[in-house]
Order: sequence, then C-alpha cells, then structure tokens
Amino acid sequence: MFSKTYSAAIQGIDALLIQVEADVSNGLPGLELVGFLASEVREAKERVRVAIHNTGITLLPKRITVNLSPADVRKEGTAFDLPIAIAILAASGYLPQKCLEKVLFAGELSLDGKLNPVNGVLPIACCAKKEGFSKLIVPTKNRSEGALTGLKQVWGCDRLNDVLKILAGEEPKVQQEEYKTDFVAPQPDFADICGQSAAKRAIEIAVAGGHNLLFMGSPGSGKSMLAKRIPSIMPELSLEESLELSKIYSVSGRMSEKSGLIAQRPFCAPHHSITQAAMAGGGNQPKPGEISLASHGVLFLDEFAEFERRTIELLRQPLEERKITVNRMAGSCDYPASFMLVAAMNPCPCGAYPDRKVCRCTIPQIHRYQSKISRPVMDRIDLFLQVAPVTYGELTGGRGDENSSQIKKRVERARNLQKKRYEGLVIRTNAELSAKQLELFCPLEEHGREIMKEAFYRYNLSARAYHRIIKVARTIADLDGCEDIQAMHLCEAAGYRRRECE
Amino acid sequence: MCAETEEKLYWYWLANVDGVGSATREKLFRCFATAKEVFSADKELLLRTGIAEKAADALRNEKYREKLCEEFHKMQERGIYFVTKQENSFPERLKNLPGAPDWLFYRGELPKEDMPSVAIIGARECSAYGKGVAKMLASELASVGIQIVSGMARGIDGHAQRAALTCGKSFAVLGSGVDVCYPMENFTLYEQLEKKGGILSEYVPKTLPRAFYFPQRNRILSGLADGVVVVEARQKSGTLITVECALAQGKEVFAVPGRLGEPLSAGCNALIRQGAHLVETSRDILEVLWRCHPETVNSQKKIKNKFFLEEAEKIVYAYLRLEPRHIEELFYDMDFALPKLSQILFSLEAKGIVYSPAQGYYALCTLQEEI
Repeated sequence: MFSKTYSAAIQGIDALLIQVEADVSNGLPGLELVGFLASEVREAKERVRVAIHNTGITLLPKRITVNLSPADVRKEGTAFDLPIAIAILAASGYLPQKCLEKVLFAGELSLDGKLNPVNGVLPIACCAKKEGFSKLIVPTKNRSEGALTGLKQVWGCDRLNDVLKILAGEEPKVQQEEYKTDFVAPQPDFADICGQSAAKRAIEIAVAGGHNLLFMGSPGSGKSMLAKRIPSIMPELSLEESLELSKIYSVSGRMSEKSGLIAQRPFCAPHHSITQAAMAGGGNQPKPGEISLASHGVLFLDEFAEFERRTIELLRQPLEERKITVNRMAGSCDYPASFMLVAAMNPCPCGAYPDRKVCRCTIPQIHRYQSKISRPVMDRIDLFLQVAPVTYGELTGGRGDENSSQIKKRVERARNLQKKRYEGLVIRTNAELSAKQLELFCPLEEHGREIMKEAFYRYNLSARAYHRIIKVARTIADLDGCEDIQAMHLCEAAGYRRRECE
Repeated sequence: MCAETEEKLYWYWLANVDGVGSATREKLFRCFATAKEVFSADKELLLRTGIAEKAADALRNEKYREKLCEEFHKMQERGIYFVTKQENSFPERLKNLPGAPDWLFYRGELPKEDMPSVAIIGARECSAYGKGVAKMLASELASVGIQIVSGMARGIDGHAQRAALTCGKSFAVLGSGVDVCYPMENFTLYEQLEKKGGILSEYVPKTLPRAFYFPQRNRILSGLADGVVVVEARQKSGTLITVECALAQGKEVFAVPGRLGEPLSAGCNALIRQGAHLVETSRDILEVLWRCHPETVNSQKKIKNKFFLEEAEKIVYAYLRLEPRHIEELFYDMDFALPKLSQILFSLEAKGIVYSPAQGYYALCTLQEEI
C-alpha cells in the first residue's frame, strides 16, 4: 500500500516542500530509505523502526520503501523522522491517508517514541503557510516558533502517540497562542557613556545613513562600549526584517522554546580568531555565519587588524550585495547579510598614536599596521573616527548626556526622509547610493562645490573618497532635516574621512 | 685632459678602492704628492710608506683600474658629481676641519659659501610639536636666504627640509651613497632636494646605509652649517653626536626648549643647561648668526605670515596647540556645537593653519606670532 506525507527541507534560510512517500509491499522484510539523503537522515531508519515498536505498534514483516521527493535535493537534519514514521504507519494501514491531507510534519524521534526538537521550524512553518497547508505538527518545544508565522493550526506533540491521536481527530490539550514577538531585554543605553560627544555624533550619522564605521583609538578609550550601544539607536525592526532574522536564527538553532519573533537588532561581536567559515557561513552542512546572524543589526569587529586577512577580505561581497553565497559540494545557498559593519582597531601597534609622549612607533610601523586592512575593505567604510581617551573630568561628571531614545528619534526621522527620497528604488539608505544616483540626489550648490574642490586638492582625495564625503554630508543634512546639502554638512563630513599618518 | 681633471680622476679611483681608509691615505700622502703618483706606484713603493699589505694589494688591484674613466663619466651623466679637497669648489667650511672628508659626492649643487647655513636636526620619532617648530624655523630661516642643512631622516630632519624647500634652499648629507634614498618614504623630498638644493655624501655612490656611517656623516653635517639647531632630542639621542661634532668644530648650538617631563625634549633642555642658545623664534637664531654674517642676514626683516581669520575662527585658533588636540577636548573648552566646530576647523585647515594628524585630532601647523 502506498501513502504520502509532507515535510520540508531547509535550504539557506528558506524551506522547500518535500513529499515523503512510503510503500509497503510483499518481499524480503526490510526498510529502505532513498532520496539523496545525508547520513543523519539515513539513520532515521533505525530510529523510526524502534520508535514505532516502542509506541506499541508492531509493523508487519513486509518490505517497506520510503522515498523523499524531489529526489535530487539533498536532505539534511533529523526533522524527517516524524513524517517518515507517519508515512510508514499510513502505508501499513494504521492511519487513513485522508487525515494526512494538508498536514506538514517535522520532528526528530527518539527510540522510546518521544519527539525531540529540531532546528529551522520557522522557515518550515513559512513554507507550510505558503504552500497552503492548514496544519503543522512539530515537537512541543518547537510549537511557539512554528506559530510565529500566523499559521492557524500548529500542534506541538511530546510523543509519536500524541501525533497519532491528533490525526485520529482528538483535540490536543495545548491551546493555540497568538503570535508574539520576543521579549525585549533592556539594552545598554548611550546615557551610560560619559563625554565622547564627537564619537556619539559620528555614530548617529553612521546609523542614520546606514554607513559603515571604523573606530580607532587607544585601548580603553571606550570603543567597544560605544559599539555595543549602536543597536539601541537603530530604528525598530520591521515585521519583514524581523521574520527574516528569526528564520536565520531558527536555521542555526538559536531559537529557544520561549522566544518569539526576534524584535531586537542583533549585535554580533565575534572574536578575532574566528575562521572564514564561521564568519561567512558554511561548513559541511551550510549554516549561517556571523555576518548573517548580524543581519539588520551590527557586526562589531573589535581589534580589526588582528583578524586573519582573508576573513576580512570575504566581507567584500556581503558589504556590497547584502547577502552571501555559500558554495559547498552539496550545493550552494544564499544567506542574507545586510549588516552594519562597525570595526575598531588601534591606530598603531602600541595604540597611542598620535600621542607621541607615549607612542614610539615609527611611521613605517604605523603604516604597516594600518595596511593590514586592505584598501577595498577600507573603501567600503564611510566614516572613520578616532576616539579620544576619556579625561577624568568627563569620567566623573561632565555634561548631562542624551539617552538612546532621543538619538533614536532623530535617526528615525532621517531614515524616513531617505525612505521617501528613494521610493521605488532598490536602495534604502544614503550609504547605498551609486555615483550616478549621487549626482541626482545630492546636487551641490556653488559654495558646496567650491568646498569640495578645495577638499579634493588639499586632501588628495580619490574619486571614491570624494563621493563618500558627499554621501555622509547627505546623511548629515537629513539629520538636520535639510533638503539641500549645505557647506556646513560638507565640512563636517570631510572631517570623518580617513587620514594617512605622516 | 688637463692635469686637474686627471688628478680628480685618480682621486675618484682612490675613493673607490675598498680597504683604504683615511689613516692609510694619510700615510700615503706623507710620501706622495698627488693621487696620480699613488696610482702609478708599484707595490714595493707603496709598502715603503708603511701601509698594510692588504691596502697595498687593493691599490694595485686591477678591478678598480679598469674602465675608470668610463665609469667616472657615466656617473657624471647620472647627475652625480665628485669634488675633492684640492679643488676650489670644495666647500670652504669643510676644508679646515679636522677629520674633514677628502672628497664629496653630490647631486644638485653644493651649499653656497657666501650664504649662511643652519643645520636643523632632531629626533626621528618626533612629536607634532617638534614637527611644527621644525617647519616654522626652517621655512622662516629659508625665506631670508639661509640654507638649511640636515640629514633627510624621518621626523625633524625631513619636516625641516620639506618646509625649507617651499621657500628656499636645503641640503642633505646622507649616510649612504648619494644615489641611495634612505629612508624610502622621503623619496619626494629626495627628488626635490636634487632640484632645489643638494644631496651630499662622502660615500661612493651605491653605498647602502649602515648604522656606523651616520655618526660619521654628522661631522660633515655640522661642518657645513654655521649653527646647529636641535629641535627635539631624547636624553640619549643620535642627534647629540652631531652637537658634539658642532662643538668640536666651534659652531653655534641652538636648542628648542620643551616642557618638563617631556622625554622628547629632555636632550634639548640638557643642552640649554649646558649653555646652548635657547630658541623661541627664528629671530633668536638670526641674531646670533648676524654676528658672523652681518652682510647677508638682515635681522631687522620682519618674518610674519598674515592670515585673516573670522571671529569664530580666532576663538578656535586660540584653543589649538602644536600638540594635537582631540575635537572632543575642543568641544568641551568652547561653546560651539560639534557641526559648527568641525566647519571652523575645516576652514582653518583649508587656510593651511591647522592640520589633522589623525581623524578627530587637530594641531597647528606652525606657531604664528600674531594673527
């Protein structure tokens, strides 16, 4: 007898609908699994057989064949245990095929028939909703995650037996919960930071225009502290962004039983010993890397110059295209990677330059240290910022400082202006402007052109650096609520360009 | 070929022979009158002057004699000139010095005899303060016609020479061959020096820099100058070797004072304590030099650069120092909002009064006396 159930396979951060077909026929007794399976899926054979047995059902000694279709897509993970078990039971006549219509299954079985949680339930649920399924059956611990998409019936089960009961028409005990967002933990606030007004201003500009940022400064000047507070002034996540982010976290197994849709912008600060695969994503079974986990949030690379050169170089594509393509033997997949890069490094090996009282690094040493970051990567960073060491006066008092929500309001206003200006275009922020669009959206009046001419010759600017100053000036004007870029905005923007030490 | 040119060629040969130092030469010229005689003497005759056998072998070595004339001309075609102590064009200042070099290789030109010259020297890893002072002194002195001599090194030397070349002449004495640019990062300066001044060395072209060549060249550096200005030096600094040479040669020594506890100024302050002239402005140097060169240096001439600053710019200017200050500090000192402040700093930068050594840091380029 033949039967069919549905499940989904994770590809990148999306899921693909998979049909699990089972057939029970006469022949040498045995269980055969086919369909381009990874070894953990092949092992499902034993888990399923024993779990069914321990649920109290004895399978007839017949030849059972299971196929996962489409058979040319590689299947990974343990979420196929449950659909395989259900398909076998249906094919053996323990379940009517009718009750399997419009139901999607995912879950790992243990030998005693218990259901264990799996990764990637959110994309599976999205897939179920998209394909028009009405029911989703997952392990209890994954239930809340599955319910996030707004799918009507998402059932969480503890045991294989419970699944059978539900399919038989029994109402489950657990009630449906409304979809919820994650609890927002209190974030560190900019009000905690004494002084550093110049740094805060630069951060505000960077966030408002979606610019990448590089901090330089002596050890202990507060680079990390500043960076950690950046998410607190970023605009709220939109539902779309939040869903995408939650999918990424779901696929990488970082959604907990209680968490809902991720509502907080991520802040990822990988250590500088991170490998390329961990940064970009990949591995034998592709998993999103840090750059994807930092999507819509901040990727903070402290001690930028200490990272392996190739690890930094691989940031080029994602910084440009806002996604990363991971190619592996088993196929390739795309992960979103639209993060804000915030890097921090010391200006020289000892960290104290330009304070020559302390710093005795030679100019070639400083050049060598700074050239650890290649030009193409530096070119993708719009704002450079040297953080001053905090003085005692600032540390123990100083001016009353703004808190994050005040800054956030200004940022959101500037972002809204940009959204309106770039309506109908692919870009959303000033940082993404191409040279051509720059001419269109950032015209300079005469005085502004004079200033840029002056700056071009005085600072020996490259074309890219020239454009970068105008982009940053556009953002500063947006923060000011100005339609035109004024001289003042250009001057300030020029102050954030990169300096070559001499 | 006239006798003089011929003799020069033999001196060139002598300069190229390895293993013949100044001590050997002294022994040789006790017996021989000219380099030509040395060239034609056989080994026995050479040994009778009391020189080592190795040196005598080297002098007879064919390696140094082949294509001598050809190579000499090739060198001149490359713009490298050779001058010996015997010639009139040899710098007068060096002729009577004890331990003076017997010859000089040079590119560009030699320092003028009738113009005063000042050596500006100091630490390689200098502070922004040192850089500012060196630039100020060099450009002001050069603009009244004083030749600036230095070592083309990193730091003070390079900054002083770069500034001097913008309005006058400058000469570098190298611790390598004149066709070897060390340090490499001063290559632009090296090129300019050839055009607008001179590069001098006692070492044969293509000689690579060696640590012990530098103290050697310092005697030429101080010898060429009428006064030596030390801008920044640590307590134990190579700069002080040049000062010792200068003192031995009877030159004037000037030192720029620094703050107490500033390691980069400790050497300078020590010099002042020992009696060096204290330098605050270029006028301090001119007044001393005026005594030796009353005809050329007009100490009454006013050295002043005029800038027209707006009210707000003046305020910011007043808070700036030669030491770089972070915009954050300036922000706390003044009542300007950050955007306004950066605009003022930009326009000061555009006027060439302020520069930014690192993002966020601003320092005065040079000290202006009045605005």
